[in-house]
Amino acid sequence: MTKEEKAKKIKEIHNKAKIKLKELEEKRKKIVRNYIKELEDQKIDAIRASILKDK
Amino acid sequence: MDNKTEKKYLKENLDEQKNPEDIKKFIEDVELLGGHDDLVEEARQRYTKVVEEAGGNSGELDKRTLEVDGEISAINEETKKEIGEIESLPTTEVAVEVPPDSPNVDIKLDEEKQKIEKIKKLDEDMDVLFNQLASSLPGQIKNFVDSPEYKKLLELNQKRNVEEKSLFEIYERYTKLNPEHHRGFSTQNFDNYGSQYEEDMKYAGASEDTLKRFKNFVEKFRKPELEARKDYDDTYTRDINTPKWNFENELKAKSGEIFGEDRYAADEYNGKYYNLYQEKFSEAQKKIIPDKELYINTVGTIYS
Repeated sequence: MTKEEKAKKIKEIHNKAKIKLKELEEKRKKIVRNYIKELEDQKIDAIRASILKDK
Repeated sequence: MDNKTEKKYLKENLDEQKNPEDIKKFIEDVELLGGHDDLVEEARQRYTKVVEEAGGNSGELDKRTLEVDGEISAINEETKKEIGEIESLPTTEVAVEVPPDSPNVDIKLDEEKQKIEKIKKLDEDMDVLFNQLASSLPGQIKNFVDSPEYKKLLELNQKRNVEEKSLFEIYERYTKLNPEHHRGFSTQNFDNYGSQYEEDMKYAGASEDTLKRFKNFVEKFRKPELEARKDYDDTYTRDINTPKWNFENELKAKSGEIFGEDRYAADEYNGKYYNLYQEKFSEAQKKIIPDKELYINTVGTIYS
């Protein structure tokens, strides 16, 4: 295998991995955001409950 | 990029990360890069803190992302292995010639040309911005250094140093007499330990007059010094850090336009300009305020 062929092959492997990683990172972002959203909803519910209790 | 510059660059990158998912990505990237275990540890702590601040638990979040984390890690490992295998293959010296009329080559050349043109344009834009920022600073420096007020400050500072040194020696002798309470007679610690120094002096039998002089010393020199120290930090933020941050943001926006999703190319490009800019700013910084302590002492003297 020549140097050029090696470089090309490595680039292909790298690009393939990059695409897969990108998809997985998006998936993870979604999980994290959902979790943060859940926490925020819990906080809002708690505030709402405390306001109702005060009334 | 040497290890020190790389660490500095990564640290700044970490400081900008506010979201748990971005911090996680940072940890992965830096682990893959290797050689920065301290930053990985710091990033882990920040990750835990950010999640906790949002009212959550990093352990719980890790559980939810466990599967994806595993897949990411497996891909990284697999890629590393595949690349390692290719690299370890023997290299033949015979080059395969690509026909010059190959359509693939034409497309590649065309893309390359476009990129070069875009980068050239980006270079020009950056140079303009860079020169504007860098050239405005030396003007301020010159005015500052040439001003009669600054020369007067230097003169006064020399006088003040003589006076302060002898005072300092006197007070230091007193505070050292109390081994239990002595906390190191430091010019930096007056805001925290001023009253304790007084106690140390009383313990050592300092007269009322000496104590009075000590209090005057604090009022006349130490308090203005603390104010000057704050003033210096504010000036530094305004004249050095803020333009630097603005420049970095511009740089990121521009490189984002050019390189899009190609984060590695964008990072490499940002790194190059950041280093150039950092060098210029370091030079400018040395000239604008040649020495922090000198500035603080001289401004402190004038204020008093």
